[in-house]
Amino acid sequence: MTDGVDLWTFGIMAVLFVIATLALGWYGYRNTKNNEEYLLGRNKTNPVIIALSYGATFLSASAVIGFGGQAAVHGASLMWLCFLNLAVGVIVAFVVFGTRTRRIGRKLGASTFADLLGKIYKSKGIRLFTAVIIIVMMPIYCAAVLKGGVNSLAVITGLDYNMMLVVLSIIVAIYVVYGGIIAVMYNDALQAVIMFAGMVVIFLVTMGTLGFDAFQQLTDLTISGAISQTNVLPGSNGWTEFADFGSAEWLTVVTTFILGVGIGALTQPQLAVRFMSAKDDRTLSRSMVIGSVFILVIVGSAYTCGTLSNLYFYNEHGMNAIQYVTKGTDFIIPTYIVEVFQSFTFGDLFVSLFLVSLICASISTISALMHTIGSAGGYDVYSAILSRKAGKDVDSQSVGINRAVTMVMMVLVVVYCYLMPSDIIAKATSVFMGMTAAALLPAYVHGLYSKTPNRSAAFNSIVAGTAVYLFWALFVNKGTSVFLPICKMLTGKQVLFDGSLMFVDALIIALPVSAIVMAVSLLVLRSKSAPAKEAIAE
Amino acid sequence: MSLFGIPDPAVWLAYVGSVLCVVFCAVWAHMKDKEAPEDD
Repeated sequence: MTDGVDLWTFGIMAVLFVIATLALGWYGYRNTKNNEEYLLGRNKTNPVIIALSYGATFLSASAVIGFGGQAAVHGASLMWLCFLNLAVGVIVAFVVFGTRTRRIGRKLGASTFADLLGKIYKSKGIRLFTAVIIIVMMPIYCAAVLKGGVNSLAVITGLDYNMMLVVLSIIVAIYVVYGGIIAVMYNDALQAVIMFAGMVVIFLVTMGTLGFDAFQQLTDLTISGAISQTNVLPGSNGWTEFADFGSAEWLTVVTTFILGVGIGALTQPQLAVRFMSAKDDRTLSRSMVIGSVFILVIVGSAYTCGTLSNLYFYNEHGMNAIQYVTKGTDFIIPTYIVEVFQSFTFGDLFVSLFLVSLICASISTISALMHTIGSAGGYDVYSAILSRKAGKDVDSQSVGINRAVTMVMMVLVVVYCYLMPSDIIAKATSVFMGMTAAALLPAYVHGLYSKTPNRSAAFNSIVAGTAVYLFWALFVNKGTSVFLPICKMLTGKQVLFDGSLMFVDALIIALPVSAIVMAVSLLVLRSKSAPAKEAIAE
Repeated sequence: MSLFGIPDPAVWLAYVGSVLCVVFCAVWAHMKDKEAPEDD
């Protein structure tokens, strides 16, 4: 699929981008003098950097090509994910969690999310468990993002997949390992600006090409029977109407895509550290505005253009998007972009801008994830080892260990890319976000808002949420059981139960269980076990 | 009732809600700016 892609234009833009990236990596390296600056960069950023870094980290290639592709199949009802990204991922995250996370993190001297939970509950176990969840699950999400980005780029440009995978991984590794979070956040901001420009252009071109009545045209064609949805489950009603309540299509769209990612945004360790890096509350509230505009434009544009790509492909080729783009949902948006820009003056420039935007969307998230994984291993886990040896609580101060762990995990992520199935980005995102929400959300809320956080209740909740999520994801939900076919190996069936249950996302079950376990444990334990000795005061 | 050519309110409300979220953020930030002095 190299028609319409001028590799010279793309090459020049990519080289300029890499130079800017490495320059910001160098800036981060020069400004990282100790472990705290490597992990958190407290007071080293401003509202714009925090907001753009938060937004760019939050939205990866999964938002643009993964969920954009899903919007092309399932329709504009996926815009509720945009709403949840804003209502929950920005408003609730900043207002309910951000301020307290910043203040309590500063008071306790916490440098990572696992460290924060560990210090709130005075529990090495909780810190270690959280770090292990990060180290085990986050590389899968990271690999999905990397794979998705590189896949699309390789197909669009015709360049070698392996070469692109290695080159991107090396670039990310260099600036994350040497520049720490300062390099990560400043590069995120650069990448966010490029992403923003790219998606604004794509949206305007889509409206210009199809007309501002594009949704009406799509609706009319669907009603007339000229075009219809394919690759959807029973209950779908076209791209501009919601599926029938409770149907298989409804359950999949609402529970997996919308709720799984929407709620999961609250407990993302790589996002929580951005709260902790803010100098004060005013910085956070200003970041909230910038971040919300950014997310609305990126996500709104991706889902709208994804849905309307069906109109484009019908007009040009007489079929819907997924029928025309046989490689799968992750290729719908890239195919659409290349074709729609072919007839434009400077079309090559815009296609190249989109491709660089895609690189930015991927590596902004990957770099944040790699930094978080490296921190979980090199700081949280290593601190646990040091504490055990010393017989007392010790926090590692070694930047070198953080760097080494990050390098090793980067290699592991690249290996995962070769083992993962395709069309995986949206599902892997849902699994990771759902898992962390189910395991950590009740404990996080309790820890931030209780004057006497109860360690045992938190631990019970985390374990229950994790166990239920894993069981449901691997043995009950059809979409997620593909990640690790244990059920099939043991029983010969892909999932244990037939019927509607197989479309219900694990988060819907595991999060309430985790919350109930927290509540019950508090009731039972409060009278028995001693609460944390000091209340966390405001 | 149709909006932007989308016939189903269950779908176009998502667009309206998203824009309102951004408005909320702006109002919230404005209110916070007027509040108590910075801490730490």
